[in-house]
Amino acid sequence: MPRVYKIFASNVLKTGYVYLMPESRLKRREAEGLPPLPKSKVEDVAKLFEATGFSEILESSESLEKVEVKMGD
Amino acid sequence: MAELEYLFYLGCLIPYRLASYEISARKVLSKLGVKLVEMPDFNCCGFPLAPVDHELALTLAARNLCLAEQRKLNILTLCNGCFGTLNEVNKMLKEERAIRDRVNGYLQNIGMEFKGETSVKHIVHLLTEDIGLEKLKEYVSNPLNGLRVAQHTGCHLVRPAKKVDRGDNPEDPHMLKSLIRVTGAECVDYMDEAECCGNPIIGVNEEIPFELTKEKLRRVKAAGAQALITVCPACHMMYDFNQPRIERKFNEKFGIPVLHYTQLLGLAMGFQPEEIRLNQLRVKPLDLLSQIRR
Repeated sequence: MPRVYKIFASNVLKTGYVYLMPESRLKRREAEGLPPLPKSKVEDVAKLFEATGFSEILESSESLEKVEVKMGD
Repeated sequence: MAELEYLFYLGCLIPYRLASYEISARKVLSKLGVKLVEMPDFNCCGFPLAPVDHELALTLAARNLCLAEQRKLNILTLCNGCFGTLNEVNKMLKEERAIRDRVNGYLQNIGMEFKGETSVKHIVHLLTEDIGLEKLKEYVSNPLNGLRVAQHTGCHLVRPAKKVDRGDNPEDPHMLKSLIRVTGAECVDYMDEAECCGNPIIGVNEEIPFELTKEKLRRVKAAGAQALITVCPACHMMYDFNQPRIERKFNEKFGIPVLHYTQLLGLAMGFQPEEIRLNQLRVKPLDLLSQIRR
C-alpha cells in the first residue's frame, strides 16, 4: 500500500479526519469567528475499520513494510 | 422563498487549509437566507481511502449519511470529492439491496442503519436548483460587468455522469458558467476545460498533476481570463496554492488569481474583499480588485 494511504488511514483512525488538524488552525478558526470543528466519534470509526476488515489489511501492509525495510538493510 | 436548511458537511481539506472557502460560503449563504446546521461528529467522506479499500470508503460515507438521516436533513457540501462520494454512496445504497444489507451489517456495530432518507447537494446545486438563477440575480448589487473569468468545474461534481445524475455535461459543464454569468462577469471558453486538476494522484505522483495544472493555467491565460473560478478545495489548492511552485518548476509566469465561486458571488453581492477573505489567496487578485473598484 503506498505510504500516503497508510498516513491517511492512520489519521482517520485517530481523528476521523484525513488530515491532522494543528492546534494553531483550530485556534485560527475561533479567531475567524467560525464554529469549532466537530470532534468525530473515533471509537465508531475504529469499529468500522475492524468490521470491514481494513484494520487487518493495514496491519499486514505495515508488517510487510517492516520486512521490506529489514531486507533492504 | 421557503426556508432552506441543510446539514453542513465540511469535510477535511476545507478546515485543514481553506478557511477562505468556508468563510465566503457562510457569508454568502447567510445573506441568501440559507440556514446551515453544523454536522456533529462526522468523519472523512471516505474518498481518500477508496483507492485502497472500497468497502471501508463505502462504510465511512454511509455513517455520514446516517448522521444526516438521524437529523432528518439533507447534506450540503462545498467539496467536489465529498459530494461525489456521499452522493454516489447514497444512490448506490438506495438502489442496490445487497450492498445496503452488507453495509448495514458493518453499521450495526455502531448502532446505525442506512435507511435512504437523505440527499446530498453541492453548493452549485443549492444555488442553481434550490435558489435558482433568477432569484440569485436579485441579490447582485455590484455586478462585475467587464470582468473576464474562466471556470473549472472539476471532476467529481459531474463525473461519472450516470452516477452523479444532476444534468450537467461532464465534457461541457454549464452550471458553474451560468452561476458566473449571474454575477455580471463574462465566462470565457478555453481549450480542454474539462481536464482534471490532477490532485487525486498527487500523493503518489507529482509530475502528472503539475503538468496538468501548468497546461490549464497556460490555456486560461491564453483565453484572456483575469481569474480562474473553482468550486472544489482540492482543485483550488492545485491552481492557487501550487501556482508559484509550478511557475518555478516550469520557469513560466502565470499570475492567474484563483477565486472560490463564493468569493466571486460575494463581490457581486457587495461584500468587501476582506470579508470574503480574498486576502487569503496565494495569488493576490490585485488587478481584478482595482478593476472592480473603478
